[in-house]
Amino acid sequence: MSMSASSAPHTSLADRIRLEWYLLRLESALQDYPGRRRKQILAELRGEVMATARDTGMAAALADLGRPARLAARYLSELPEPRPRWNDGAVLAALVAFGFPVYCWFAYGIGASEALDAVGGGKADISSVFGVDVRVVSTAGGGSISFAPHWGWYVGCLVVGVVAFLLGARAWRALRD
Amino acid sequence: MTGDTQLLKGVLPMLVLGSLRARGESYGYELVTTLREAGLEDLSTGTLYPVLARLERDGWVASRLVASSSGPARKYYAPTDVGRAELDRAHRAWGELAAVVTDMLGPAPDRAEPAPHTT
Repeated sequence: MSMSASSAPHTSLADRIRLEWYLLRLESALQDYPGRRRKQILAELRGEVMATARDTGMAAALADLGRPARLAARYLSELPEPRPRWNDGAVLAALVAFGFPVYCWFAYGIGASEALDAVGGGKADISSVFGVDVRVVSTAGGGSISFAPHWGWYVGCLVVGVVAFLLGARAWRALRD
Repeated sequence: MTGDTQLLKGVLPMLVLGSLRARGESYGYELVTTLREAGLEDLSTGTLYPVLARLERDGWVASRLVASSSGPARKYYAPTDVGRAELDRAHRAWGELAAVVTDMLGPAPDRAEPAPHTT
């Protein structure tokens, strides 16, 4: 069934914006819900909340729904079986693949800079730290750290991300069963 | 009446089906109001709408849009034959479970008065 909700005549622009902002957050939290049904739920909620807001006001209608993340969790919990959390997995894999190496570079660069400070300053070019060339400059007036990634680094990150994603998916399945 | 969310989650589909069978058909907010008046004062639309979505997906309720001259169309729900049969089954199961609880624990105690605060 499709929902063709039209605007209530006296729904203010501010209320429309609040409703759309709520639905945007809900849609984001419902990313792992089956696509066609997700759109249907959002359209139905839009119509239902606008109709309810005529009686209770938009603030009360939205408050009654609860936080978008919580409402999304309730919709997801009503599915026949737990859905794979693709988005969470992708974010986690990206953090592992890119966030961890970036953290390592900075830690390495700061360590190298302090080592240069300890010997009175200077410049050091260090090649291929996790696939990245690092240049550390330390002078009496300050210092700098620059990074130059090779194309191989991107491939390496991609491989690490895919492996992290697959391992995470296996762990999720094992914990689910 | 009940603040036990797990208990409520178990019986809410049955109560929704029962309410729809009594009214013939109804829309989401009206169902919430009906169930609140029946004693589920803490029930929210955020709890009910996902349950309605599941009942519809499982074919226990059917829906239709009813246009309104003063605003957006509303979705009305009515129990299907499958839903009515499921309600009867759930009602029987609830009766059996309630009998076991009463046999084990005896009649439900009166609501306890809140304990006075001591400092």
